[in-house]
Formats: sequence, C-alpha cells, structure tokens
Amino acid sequence: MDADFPDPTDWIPTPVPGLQALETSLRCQVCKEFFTAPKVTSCGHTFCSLCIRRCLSVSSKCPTCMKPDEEPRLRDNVIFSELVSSFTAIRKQLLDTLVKEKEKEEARKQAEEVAKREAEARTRVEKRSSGDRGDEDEIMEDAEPPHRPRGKRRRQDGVTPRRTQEIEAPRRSTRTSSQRTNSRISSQTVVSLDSDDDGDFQPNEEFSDDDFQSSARPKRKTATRVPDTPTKDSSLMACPVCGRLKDISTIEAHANRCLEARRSPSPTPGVSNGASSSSSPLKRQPVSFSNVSKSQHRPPYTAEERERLRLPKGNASLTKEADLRKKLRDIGIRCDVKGKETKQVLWARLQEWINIWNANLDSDNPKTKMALIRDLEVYERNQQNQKPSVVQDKGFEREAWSSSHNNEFEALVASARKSAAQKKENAEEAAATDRPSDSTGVQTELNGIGSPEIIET
Amino acid sequence: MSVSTAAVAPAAGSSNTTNVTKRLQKELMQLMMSPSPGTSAFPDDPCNLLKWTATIVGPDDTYFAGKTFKLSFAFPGDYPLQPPTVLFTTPMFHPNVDMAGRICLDILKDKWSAVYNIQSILLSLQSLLGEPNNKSPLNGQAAQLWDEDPKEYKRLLEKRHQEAE
Repeated sequence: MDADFPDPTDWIPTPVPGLQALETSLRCQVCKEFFTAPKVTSCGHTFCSLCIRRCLSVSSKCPTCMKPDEEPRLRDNVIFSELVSSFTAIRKQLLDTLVKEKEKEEARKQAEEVAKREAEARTRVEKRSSGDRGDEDEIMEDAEPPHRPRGKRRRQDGVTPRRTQEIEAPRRSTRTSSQRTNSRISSQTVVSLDSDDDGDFQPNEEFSDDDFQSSARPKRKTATRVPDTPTKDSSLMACPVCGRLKDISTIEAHANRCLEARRSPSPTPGVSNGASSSSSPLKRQPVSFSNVSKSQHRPPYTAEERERLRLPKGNASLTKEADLRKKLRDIGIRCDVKGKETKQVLWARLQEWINIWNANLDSDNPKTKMALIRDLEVYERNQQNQKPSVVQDKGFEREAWSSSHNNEFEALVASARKSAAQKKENAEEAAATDRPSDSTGVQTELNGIGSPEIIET
Repeated sequence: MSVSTAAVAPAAGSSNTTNVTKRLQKELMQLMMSPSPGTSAFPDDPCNLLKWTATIVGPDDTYFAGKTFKLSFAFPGDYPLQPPTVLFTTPMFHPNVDMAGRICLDILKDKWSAVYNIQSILLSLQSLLGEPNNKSPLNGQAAQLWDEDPKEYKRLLEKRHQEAE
C-alpha cells in the first residue's frame, strides 16, 4: 500500500475536522477520488466523467438517487473542477499548517499548565507566609484560570468557520474573481488572517457543525444549479443509432436517416454519425500525438471538438459481430482473429472503449490514444483477473494471477520440499536395505519438486 | 506457466493497483477512522484487498440483540459497478438468509448502486436483522416462525448460533 495516501479522514485529527466533509464532497462517490472531469447528471449529482459513464452503461440510472438518466444528458460541472483543482493545490499546505498549528497549541497548553502550577505554588507559599486569609481566595484562584481561556476560545470560534475558506480564498479568487462571495471573503481574509493568527482555538462540536454547513451547503446549490439544460431537454431522446439527443417528435425520422446512412456505402459526414464517427477521432489522433511528443501536455479539447469527437454508444442488436470486430481492429484494439470471443465480450470491450474515449475528451489533461488503449487493456485484465471462471487460454492474465497466488505457490513449494526431504530420508533408509529398486523412486520424487509443472497441478 | 513467472510477478503486480484496490483502500481508511457502532470490517490479507471479513452486532430489541455475526465479502474486479458477494459465515437463522449464509437483499442484487460501500451494506444488513422481508424468504421455516411463533424462533436461533461456538 502507498505510504502517502490522501484521504478525507486526514482532517479528523486536525483542529478543523469539518474539512473532512468538505473533502468528501469534492470526491466522486463512485471511485472516492477527487473528481476528474466532473459531470453532473440531470438529477444534479456529480461524478467523474469515466465513473458515471461506466455506471450508466451498467444500468441507466443515477447511482445516487436511482433516477433514470442517459449519457448524452451529462453536462460539465465547471465549478467543481475549479474547486477540486484549487483545493488539491493547497491541500498539503493546508494540512501541514493545521497540524503545525495543533502542535503549537498543545505546546502552548502545556506551557500554560506549567505556568499555572508554578503560579499556584507561588501563591500558596505567599499565603502561607502572609498568614491565613481564608479559603475563598484559593477557590477563586482555582476557578478563574479555566474560565479565561474558554472565553478567549469562544470569541475566536466566531471567526474560525471562515478560516478554512480564508486559507483557500487567495488562490481561488484568482480563478473565480468574478464571484461575489469570494471577493467578500478575501477582503475579510486580509484582516483576520493577520490579526488572529495565534492558532489558539480548539475543535468543538458547535464549531465543526458550523464549518460543515458553511462548506457543504453552498456547494450543493451550485451542483443543482447546473442541470438547467437537461430539464429543459426532457422531451429529447437519444437516437438508438448515433446516440445524439433529438426531439421526440423528430426522433423517428432521424433514426431512419441514421440507419439509411449506415447502410449506404459512402456515408455523407453530416448525417452518418453512426458509421463515420469512429473514424473521425482516428484521423485526428496522429496529429495530436505528434503534439504530445513535443510538449508532453495537450491543451484540452474545445467544446466543439469534443462534440465532434464524441463516440456514440450505438446499439448492440443493430451491430453485427463482423462489424464489431472491424471497428475494434480499426481503432487498434486487440481482438482475436479466430472468432473465439463472443459478440458480448466484443461489445463490452467497445462500450468500455467508448467510455474511456469520451471521458478522455472531458479531461483537462487528455491522454494519447495509445495510453487509452493500454488503459482499456489494464481494465479488462483486472476484470478477468477477478473472475476465475472466465480464466481461459485467451483472456488469462498470467502475471496478475500468479502474483495473487504467489503465497500459495511458495507455501506449496515449501511443503513439497519438506515432504521431499523427509521422503529422501526415508528412501535413504530404505535404500540402505534395498538399493536398486528404491533409488529410482527417489529420483522421480526429486524431479517432481524441481519441475514447476508438477507442483502446480 | 512456470514458477519463474510466479517469482517475477510481484514486481509486475505492483503496477496493478487497480481502481478496485484504490477504492477499497479508501473505504478501509474511512472504516478505521470513523467506524459506525456495531459494525467492523477488515481485509483478510493486507496484500489482497478483495476479500474482507466483517462483523455486525445484532441491533437491540431484536432476536439478534447482543449476538455478533461474521460475514465474508468478496469483491468483483469491477466493484463498485457490481456488488460484492456477501455471506454470513456465522450460522444464521433468518428469513432472508439461507442455511449456507447466502443473503437475499435487494441492494446486493438488482438495487445495487456504485455509491454504496461496505459501511452502507453493513448498516443495511443490521437493519435487515430487525426487519426481515418475509414476503420473499430464503428460509421458509424462519419466515413462518418469525410471524407465528417467536419463542420457537428464538430457540432455533440460539441453537444455530451455538453451532458457531
């Protein structure tokens, strides 16, 4: 496991445990990572582009609320990608600062404690020397110190809920300076950050509640504000052939046109999404690939490009197996020649490719096609890895399987060695009495240990 | 396939930190830092996060109060898109659990969603203990007794549970 493993629970021991809730809502509920290319569903829930695409290809429902949804209805969640990038940029710094602050506070508390004890000791000595003036003084002195710091803490608690945003604000305001709230917060920031930078506050219940609300509420609003367009689109339906959203009244005509275009040998680019769209990204790819080799980083696609390159999901029953094979081979995806793989497997592979491809279009740092194909292979391998019933000559992934069973192998080898050693001893004893017949037995036994095939079977 | 590949494999395996493992690591962290009362879960083997053992404590005011039940979790390669296979490993007597420990619970089958996690499964199972779905029982006897003969139910449950010890 990684030693450095950022997780929302990192915030629990800090003076601001409410940041856990903030970070949790900046992470995708499916993969639990920070959002990559966040997409919002028509019901207002946000997921990584790839995660929601995979979910929707398993079942066409929002994973959170189970409302039916479709891929073409997904919309970018721009504010979330900004939030994630600004939060991840300051995360480490914020965590370090808070941890240090806590240490400072603990040191201070200890110092106070020591000072208090010293002061008490001194007053006692003084009292003893000045004669008994009564117990009430002593009670007063005992009662006072706990009061004072608490009052101080209260006062600062009023300020602290803002603090999390304050630390974030300077960076964020550069990105979204147009936002009213931000400019307001950052104007306060300058004052309060400097004035009460003592870190003399404690986490307590009411404070963390405050913090949770302040961090979680406005975000939910932004999440629900985005999907205005999809609700307006409710009379739209995805074309079964090309996957584009079309008005219900025109969908039939459109689908017919799509089908027509698929059948015709030389499809016109305007109509024939189903047939030509898989080749258009391919044509583009070599160009972008050369870009990458120069700069290592390709600028994200424009909205127009994305729409043009977006692959439609297609329809399983409308696609012939031979076409599927050809499509996959054209893209450059591994698929067997002899036709051992079923249409179902090929279809699943193409769907996953479309998911990966479309999600990559949404990404801020798009990968090359080669990288995407590798991703697809890794993804498939890991799936097969977990299904021993599917483990067969073709899809069988040796390395992964043997690594996961390495312990068993070692145990088997060890026990085989042990029993072999024992048998050898026995055999030697036996050989002492009856040499010619048994020595061959020992030989085969040893051969068995040496050759791995026998151990495995 | 030979042992030599097995020996090389761990190095190759490390690049295999899949989405599943990553997600399960996060869940483990969450469970350890803020566990929900009456439930616990931990991987059987730190090298293989795909098999877990979990425990739930029977909720108060149910037949199962105070009893602890062990469960096994097996996660598929496409978790969380597909649900884990969850079994009671402690002998169980419950309308929606068969004698082999298999569980009939909608969220583990068709109502599964990728946002559910180990914690939410454990909480659902905990509430299933108190509120079985007697309309589609896996254990007909248990379902019948649950409604008609609480005493006998309790007796059989105790008997089953003692098999664990």
